[in-house]
Amino acid sequence: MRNQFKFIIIIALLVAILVTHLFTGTFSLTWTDLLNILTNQASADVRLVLFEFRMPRILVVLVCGAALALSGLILQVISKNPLADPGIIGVNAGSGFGVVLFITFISGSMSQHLYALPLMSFVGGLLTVLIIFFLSFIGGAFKSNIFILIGIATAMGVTGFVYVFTSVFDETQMEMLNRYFAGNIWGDTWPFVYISVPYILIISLFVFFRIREMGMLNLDDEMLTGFGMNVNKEKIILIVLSAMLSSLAVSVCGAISFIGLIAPHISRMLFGQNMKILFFSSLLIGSVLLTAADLLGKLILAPAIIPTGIVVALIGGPYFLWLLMRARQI
Amino acid sequence: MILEAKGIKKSYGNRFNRTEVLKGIDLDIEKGEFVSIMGASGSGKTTLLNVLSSIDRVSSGHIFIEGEDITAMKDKKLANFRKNDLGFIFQQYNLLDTLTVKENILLPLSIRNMKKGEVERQFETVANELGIHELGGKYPNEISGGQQQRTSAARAFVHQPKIIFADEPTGALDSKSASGLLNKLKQMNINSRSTIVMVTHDATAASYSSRVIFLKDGLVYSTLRKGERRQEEFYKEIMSTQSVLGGVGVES
Repeated sequence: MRNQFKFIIIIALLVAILVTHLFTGTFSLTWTDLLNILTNQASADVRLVLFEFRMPRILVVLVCGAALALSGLILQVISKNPLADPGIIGVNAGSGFGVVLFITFISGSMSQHLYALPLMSFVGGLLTVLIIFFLSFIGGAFKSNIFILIGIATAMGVTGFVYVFTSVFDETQMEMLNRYFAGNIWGDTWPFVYISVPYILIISLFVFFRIREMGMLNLDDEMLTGFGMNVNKEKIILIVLSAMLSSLAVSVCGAISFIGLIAPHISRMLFGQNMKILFFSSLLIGSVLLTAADLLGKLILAPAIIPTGIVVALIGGPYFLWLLMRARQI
Repeated sequence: MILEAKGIKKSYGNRFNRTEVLKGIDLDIEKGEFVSIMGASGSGKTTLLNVLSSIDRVSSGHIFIEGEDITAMKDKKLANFRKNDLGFIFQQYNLLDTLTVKENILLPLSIRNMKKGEVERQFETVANELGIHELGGKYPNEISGGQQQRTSAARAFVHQPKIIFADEPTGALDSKSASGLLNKLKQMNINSRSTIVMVTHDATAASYSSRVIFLKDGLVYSTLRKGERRQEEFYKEIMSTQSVLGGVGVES
């Protein structure tokens, strides 16, 4: 009963954020506009703002926040490490590398290559995780902690490569890259909704059917092996799903970190350890966090817009420190 | 004969730095036996248990369970074999905090889609035998360590495996809870004719079994059988063998 209550509050919060998001911005909408839209009497520019600008952006942010949170939850479960985050295992760095390759070799205007940029970003992120993944098998058996360590090292190496490329960039190219690393939601039109949202939903459904296995991964590997579970295979499947989720999200949203770390944490604090509840609450809280960050970025310095990724980092950084303090790690 | 091991060797490390933990072990275990494996730290007893129970692969040698060579089995078949024919108890209770005692016990059955009535019946049987029936609705953090380990034991027995492997099952228990658990294990061993292979460094725990195998430096050093003797006498003999081995040291 109490959990239901918490869920209702979170959903109400999410709805409030979404509604505020719809109405505010450079072009403010009013309730009359909404009424007009519902009765099909709205002017063309109101319809344009609502359907072509606000709606796709909100959808992308909503679903990508959920994807990042779920990706983080999976990684934390399989590594038995509450500090795991898709950014840590090189997804952001790899995607950034894809973006750099795009700017270096394809460049030109974004409108000419609408899908090339997110595609390269996606492939870059996914490839990096898979490389890290195979590297972590070199010692024989797959160990999640080694995986995370190799991930951190590889992410650093890849980031280094990114900056080697930037030495030949001109100003416009540099600006594009910075926009990516600041976590600008660049994919805020309908085509980006079509290339990200459906796939994220499908992958999340796959994860949903592995909730029981995710819950059981809390047990020692020997015990699970004793139960007849192929522990390595389970972990591999989950890592690939997690990498796909975060790569997809990052490829349309830019390098956003911390959501994957914070959302599962808040979920655990609110709801405890039940994996099924954690699955849904992480999705919701991820959505709340990213939409809230996007909204704040739009409102704080209006009419200037702060990149969403930076808002997330501004909130996420101090929160992370507070978490560490609370665990008496500092 | 339910378990037969021939010339088992196991080494760890790379080719520059190899440590041979098991140096050629032969072993026969009859159906319904309760066997303890003892030895000092580093004598290879946990490694032996891990390879016997197929959790780890041998470097060379063969292990037959009911005549079937598990060292030659493919991963998938091996996983199925573990699921159906083996039960495990570890020093850590390995219970899921989010599940009740009953749900934890039924975990091995929930993986194999059994009929509900059958599942209930199995639960009734093991939970009654291990004296934790009335705890079914509680969560692991609401019960004592001894009760948690009995839950863990019930989970190992619930699917009626052919062999139970126990690695230091009493390692984290006080002596009263430990003897409670061992009495239950022995009772299960007699009543259900299940075979138990237990690794322990505790002579008291070993005295509950019918045979004790001592390992030293990766080889079988000696074997003691309880026979018709009383448990106290058996205990004394285990103690004296252990002191000859010099393995009374602290163990993790």
